[in-house]
Amino acid sequence: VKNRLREARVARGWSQGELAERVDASRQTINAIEADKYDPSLPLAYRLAALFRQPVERIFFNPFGAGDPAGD
Amino acid sequence: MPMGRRQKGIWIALVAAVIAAVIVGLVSGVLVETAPAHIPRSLVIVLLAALIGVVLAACIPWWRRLDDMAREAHLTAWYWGGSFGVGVGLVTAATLSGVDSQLFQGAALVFATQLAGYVIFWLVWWARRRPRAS
Repeated sequence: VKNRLREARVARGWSQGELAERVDASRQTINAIEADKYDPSLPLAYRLAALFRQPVERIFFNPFGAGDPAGD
Repeated sequence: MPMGRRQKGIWIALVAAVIAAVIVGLVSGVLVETAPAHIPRSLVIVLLAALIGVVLAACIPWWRRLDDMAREAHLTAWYWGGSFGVGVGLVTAATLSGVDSQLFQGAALVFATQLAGYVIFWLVWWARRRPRAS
């Protein structure tokens, strides 16, 4: 799914490796998610959202057309 | 690039699992070769199957350390790549040695037991996800 993960990560000044360590994933996984080459599991998506203190829909866009509840 | 703590943990768990597999393989080989003739072969097979269970258990720490994507990569590769590989092995054995050969029969046995294991795990996977009756 398309996402704002890279944007959120860069805003914190973290490398992919640093983000990976924080959510107990590999750097390759973070890279693949950011490039929209891999869809994270629901637990990993929530872990990422919790880390950035945002609702999961603010980071991962619903591909089935539901609007962003945050109104963006 | 230095290896992170997480990556190091994965490698340590993997090496431990491989060491367990090698030890169990050696023990199994000794058991097969030295088991007294009066012990039923079926009992030896059950014992060896239990030892293989020990190897699987030894792989659990490694598996739990992998993240979603690494697990999915292994599951996909094992299912599709392993299925293709065993198919190639079967046709190779049949072509080179004929279907009556011990080589082909051995390959067929491996395929049959692999398929049986797959079916059992598939059934258990679904059974554990059945909703409780309300």
